[in-house]
Order: sequence, then C-alpha cells, then structure tokens
Amino acid sequence: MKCLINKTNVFLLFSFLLLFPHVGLCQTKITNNLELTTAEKVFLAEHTPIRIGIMNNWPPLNYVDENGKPAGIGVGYFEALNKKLGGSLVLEPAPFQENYEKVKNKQLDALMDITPKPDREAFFKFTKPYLAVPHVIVGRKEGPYFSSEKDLTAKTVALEKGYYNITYFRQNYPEVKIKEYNSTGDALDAVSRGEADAYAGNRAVAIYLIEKEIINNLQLQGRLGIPPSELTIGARNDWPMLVVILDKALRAISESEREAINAHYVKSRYEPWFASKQFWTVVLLSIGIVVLIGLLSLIWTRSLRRLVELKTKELTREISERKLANERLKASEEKYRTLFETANDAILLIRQDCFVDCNTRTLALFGCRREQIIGASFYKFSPPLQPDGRRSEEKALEKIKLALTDGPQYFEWEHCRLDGTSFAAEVNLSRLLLGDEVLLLAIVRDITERKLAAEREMELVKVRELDRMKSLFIASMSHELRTPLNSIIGFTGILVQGMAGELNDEQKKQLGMVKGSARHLLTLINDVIDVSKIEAEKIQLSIDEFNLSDTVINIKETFQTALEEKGDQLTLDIPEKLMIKSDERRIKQIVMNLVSNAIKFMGKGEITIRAGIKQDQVEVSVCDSGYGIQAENLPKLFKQFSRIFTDGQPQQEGTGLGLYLSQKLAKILGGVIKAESEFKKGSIFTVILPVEYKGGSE
Amino acid sequence: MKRVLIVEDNEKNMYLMNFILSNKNYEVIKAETGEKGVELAIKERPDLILMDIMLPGIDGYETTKRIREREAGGKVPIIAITSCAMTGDREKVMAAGCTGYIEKPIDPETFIPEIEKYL
Repeated sequence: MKCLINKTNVFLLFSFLLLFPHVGLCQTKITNNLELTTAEKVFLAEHTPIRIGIMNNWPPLNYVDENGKPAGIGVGYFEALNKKLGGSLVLEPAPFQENYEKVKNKQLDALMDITPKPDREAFFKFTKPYLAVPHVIVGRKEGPYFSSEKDLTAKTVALEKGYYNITYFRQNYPEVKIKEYNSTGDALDAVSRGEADAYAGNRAVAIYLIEKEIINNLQLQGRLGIPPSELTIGARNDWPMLVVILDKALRAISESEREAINAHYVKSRYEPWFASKQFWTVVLLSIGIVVLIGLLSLIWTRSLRRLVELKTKELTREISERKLANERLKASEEKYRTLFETANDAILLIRQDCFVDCNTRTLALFGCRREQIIGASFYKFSPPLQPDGRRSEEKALEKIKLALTDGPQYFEWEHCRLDGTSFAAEVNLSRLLLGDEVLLLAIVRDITERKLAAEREMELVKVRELDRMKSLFIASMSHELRTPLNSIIGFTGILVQGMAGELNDEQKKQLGMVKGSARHLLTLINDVIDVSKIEAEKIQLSIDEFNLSDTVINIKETFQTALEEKGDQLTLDIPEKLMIKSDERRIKQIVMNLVSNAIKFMGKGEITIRAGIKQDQVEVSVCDSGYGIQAENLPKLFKQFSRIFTDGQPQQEGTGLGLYLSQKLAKILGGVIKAESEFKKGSIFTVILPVEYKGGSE
Repeated sequence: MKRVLIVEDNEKNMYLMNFILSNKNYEVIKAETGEKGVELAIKERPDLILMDIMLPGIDGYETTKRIREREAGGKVPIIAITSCAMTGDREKVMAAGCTGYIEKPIDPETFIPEIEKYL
C-alpha cells in the first residue's frame, strides 16, 4: 500500500509536467537573447506602462474568461512578451472596434491580433506576424459540402460585421449572398438554424465555438482561397520604436515557447475555464482518480490475473483430478458392474418390497425378462406357501424387517418362475445404503443341485446304513443259527462213529446224509456270515509270512476223505517253498472253495493244483477235467447267489455264494480270481495275488 | 486219568463234549459260568481246560485272564472253543492267554486228536 502511494505521487507529478510544459520552459528562457539598445531601454522606461488592447470576445485567440481574466493565444504571447520586457506592458481587453478606435486616437499604444491591411496602415505600424490562422468554410453536416468559395455561388454565407471576409467575398465572389452578424457565434448559429448555408472565417475560432456551443449539426468543410489571417501587433503609428522593441521581443520568444503557447491554447481552446483552480482540481482529481483507478485496476487486474492464474491452475488440477477420479470411478464402476453382471448368483436390489435392479444371472435364474422383474414385488417369484407352511408374503416381509433392523438375513427360500416351476434358493438379504436411500440387497443362489446332491448323499448314507444293519443282522442271526447246528453235527458224528452203539448200514447211511446236510447248512451259514461281514466292512485280515506250498498240501489233506470216497485224483504241481505275505486263512478259504467246487461239479475226474510266482504275483490255479462252463455263463460265475446249469451236468447243491465270496476275498487281499473254461473239457480257476499284501482293491 | 475242565453254558454242547471225552476215558469237570470255571480251575487243577467264549456273565476271554492271574505253578492248557470263525477271534483268544482253539462245530472224529496235541 505504501509503495502504491509513492508510485501514485510520482505518476501525478509526471502527469502535471506533461500537461504544463510551458511553465517550466517559459521560466528558464525569460531573459534569453533579448538585447535592447540604450535608446530602446530609455523608450521603455519613459513609456511604461505601455497599454496594449486585446479583444475580449474572440476566443480562443483573445477573450476574457468567466473570472474576468484575459485569456487566449494572444494573451499567451502578450505574457511572454511582457516577461521579456520586464513587465512594462499592461493589457486592456475590449471589443475590437473600440480598441481599434482608441489606438487611432492614441488612447491605446498597441493592439494585439490585428491583421495588417492597407486601410489600417494609416493608423498602425505592424510588427511581424506571430501567428497565422487559416480560413475555412463551415457547413451543415446534412447539407451540401462546400469545398471552396465556388461551391458557395448563390448560397447565403454568414459573416461577422466589419470583418475583412465581407470585403473579400464582395470583391471576388459577388454571386455569394452575404448575411452579416454581430459575432462569430451568431453567424455560426445562423448556419446551424438554416438561416445561412455556410459560414466562412477563422478556423480556430470556428472550431472553438462549434465545440463549446455544441453545435452538433455543423462541420468544417473546405478552405477559403485567401491566405491565412496573419496576426500581428499593431502599434500607434507615432511610436515606431515600440514596433522595433516588440519585434525584438517576439523574435526572442523561442520556438519551443511558441509551441507551448499554441499547444496550450489550441488544446484547451474550447475550454475557457481551463485556467480555473476548480477545473484543475477537478482535472487533477479526476486524473488522480483515473490514475488511481488505473493503478488499482492494474494491480487489481494483475492480482486478478494472478488469481485467475492460480484459479486456473487449481481448476486445471481439479479438472485433471476429477478426470482421474472420473476415470477411476468409471474403472471402478466397470469393475463392480462386471462383478455384478458376471456373478453366478442372482443379485437384486429391493426398494420397499419391489425389485429395482438385477443382474443378468437373475434373468436366467427366474426365467424372465428384465422388465418382468423390475418393479415386481418380492413375492411375485415365490409360491403362495413356503416349504415350512408359512405364507411367502408374510415370511418375506418378516425377513425384510429383520434385515433392516437386525443385520443380514441368511435363509432358504422356495422361488418360483413365471412358468410355475420352482427352485430352492439360498437368500442372503442385507441392508444397503445407497446415497441417502435405504435399499435391500438380495443375493439369491440356486441350491437345487446342492439339495439334490445332499439328498442323494443322504439316501446313499441311508442305503449304506441299511445295508450295514442288514449285514449285522444276518451275521448275528447266522451265529444263532449255527449253535443248534453244532449239536446236530456233533451228535450225528458220535452216532456215525458208533460211539453210542453199533448202527446197521442203513442207519449209518441215513445219519451220514443228515450229517452231510448239516455240514452244507453250516457252509451256507458261514458263507452268509462272511458275505455279511464283507458288506458290513467288518472283515479283518491277519497278514503274516507263510509257505503257500504247505497251505496247499494241507488243503489236499483236508479233502483226502472226500476224494477217496468219490475216487477222484488230486495232483499237486507246486514248488517246495512258496513264501508269501498275506492272510493264510483267507487264501485257504478261497482255494478250498475252488477245490470243493471242482470236486462237486466236475463229476468223476482229475484235479490239479498249480502254484508259482510270476514277477511279484503268486498264482494258484485249480484245474479240473469236468464239464466246463459255457462261455456265455462265464460272466455270471462271480455273481451273488448265481447258479449256473450246464448241459449234461447233474445238479448239485450250492449256496451261490462260494465264488462271489472267494472273488470278494481275493480282491480284499489285493488280487483277483480268473476263470477259463472249455466246454466239456474242463475249467481252470486261477487266484492271482500279490506276493506281499499291500492293501486290497475292495 | 486226565482231567478236563469244560467251561460251557450250552447244555447240549456240554453233553456232547462230556460224552466224547468220557467215551475216551477222560475225567470231566463241568463249569456252566466263567466265575465257576475260575473257581474250579484253581481248586481242581485240571490237566486241560476247554473254554467256551460266549458265556453269560464274564466271557471266555475274561475267565481265561483270571485263571492265568491266579493259577500257581505250570500253565494249564486252555483251549478256546470258538463258535464263530472270525479272524480277529484267534488273536483275541491267544491274547487272553489261551493255548489253542478249536472251531465249532465239534467233529467227534477230529476232536480227540486235536485235544491230545495239548496234553
């Protein structure tokens, strides 16, 4: 602020000097190059004050301003002269004609601004001209344009009374009508009113008056052919010395002084009040204010610019930030939209109890178009009743209420499509604040598959459990069944042996049949127990290392009696040692079953048991020379309770469980039983087992 | 004359074993429960014990364990008579302290030779 004031002061001073250059200039050149002779100095001293008349109403050349002070270009020159002549001159303003007469009568010593004319030379001695003012034609703007005197032919020209121009027109352009007025102002007024067509006269005066009186419809047009008015000072004709002194003084006025005077008056020619203090105060104040405003506006502009720059920067940053944020928002929105749209669950927005938005999955799930969902109520896609027997609408409203007050609700829901089909869903219902609005977000997952899978799983578990129960039941029942068989077999054995007394042959034979049947029943029961155990997953293995050859020999011994009775041959083709690691009892059970089958089904024939190791597998095969098995029957061999009847073969008792159980056991031991047969030639059943048990396949 | 203690609750089985053993000149001591079996095993000091597994009250395993805990001197052979041919039973029977086992049903033809292995 301090800085601002200083700047303003400097600026004001500078403006002042610009406006008043003559002040400085005149002061410095006051006494330069005026050299008066002694006679001239004496003359001046004797005649001081020398009275000089000027016109009081010919602005801007000479006039008296509203304060009664003489002013004008002429006065400017007078003051310059007076300074050079040491203030020996006094000024006497009066109308031209009055002053003219006074000089003629020696009542005034000289007259300013007089144009030398032959008729005036009788009374005046003229100095050299100090000013030349051209003459112009003034016409109305809307009227014809008068470029020279010729254009004024037959026109009326307004002229000032007593002025030389009247003589000029009368002598040179008699066709021009002349109207005389008391002053230049009156004459111009007459043109303005249309009383005259044009005015011709001093340009400076005309311009001054037009602008001062604001005679808007007038304009300067052409120039008069006469030479410009040369203004001189006319001294009384008996004082030639005065003319000499004035000429010297005029010459002493430097070119710059002249320019200053002219510029000053021409510049303010239509402002007769220019010299007044109020005027300058106003001007200075105005200028000051203008400058101040200018400066302030400059500062303001600059600060504004800075502010604008700052704001622009801020805005640019903000715009780029917003752009970035927008892009992020867009990307984010895209991301969430994609999430929303590609989610494999139906996602719905609910307002009150109506759907307002949903993803694509919803449409697939509900089997409808978007417009069928949007605006629809929650229960439009639900059957009247839920599986628990409650009304869908009532239950839905309760869930919505809970979701709004107690947090997310997670429940199963029966939905129905518009086509009436229904599906089980899992609904996750939660409160969602979107802007100021409270909505509900529902994520609906179709759990039909899951439910089906769960049901299947449940059924499977049930079936397995039932199966296990059945097997357990059979196992325990079989145990109970076996207890009385123990007595039957035991006591028939005692009787057959004759331990309780001698029996005849028929009695022995019949009791033998009882014993055989009891044994068969026992085998049946044992097999059932084993099958049940296997199915109840209760079979336990006892893995140990043993010599399989010994086992096979033991088996042969077991069947010795039966073989001898039937007259069959059993040959062994085994190495001495066949060490394997497995469950001996189970292997024995399998092989015995195969041998028993061979004895039972081949009729009379030969049986060979072969055993050997191939790589890491042991193979035990039971070959018979029996009826063989028809190819189409081979696949049925290992089925539970399946009995095969071969043509020509006598029917035998059987459980239908033997091979099924043997195969099961072989698999439990990590092996398998393979059957080969040639019809009417015999069969080969081979057990293939790992040399070392490492887990079963069942 | 060798003395055999039979621990068996089933009357017919008891009769069967008793008949066979008596027929072959064995002296039979009968116990219908596990508790009785333990008592007689200690008191009578038989040459062999035939032990049914499925007994009312304490079962054959427990009876065998108790006999083994209380008997003085040499071990009396205890042969388990198992009614169910289960793999696990054999281990259980041996673990309980039995010397051997015979599977039901008892075949009079092979019964005596089996027993004689342990005498």
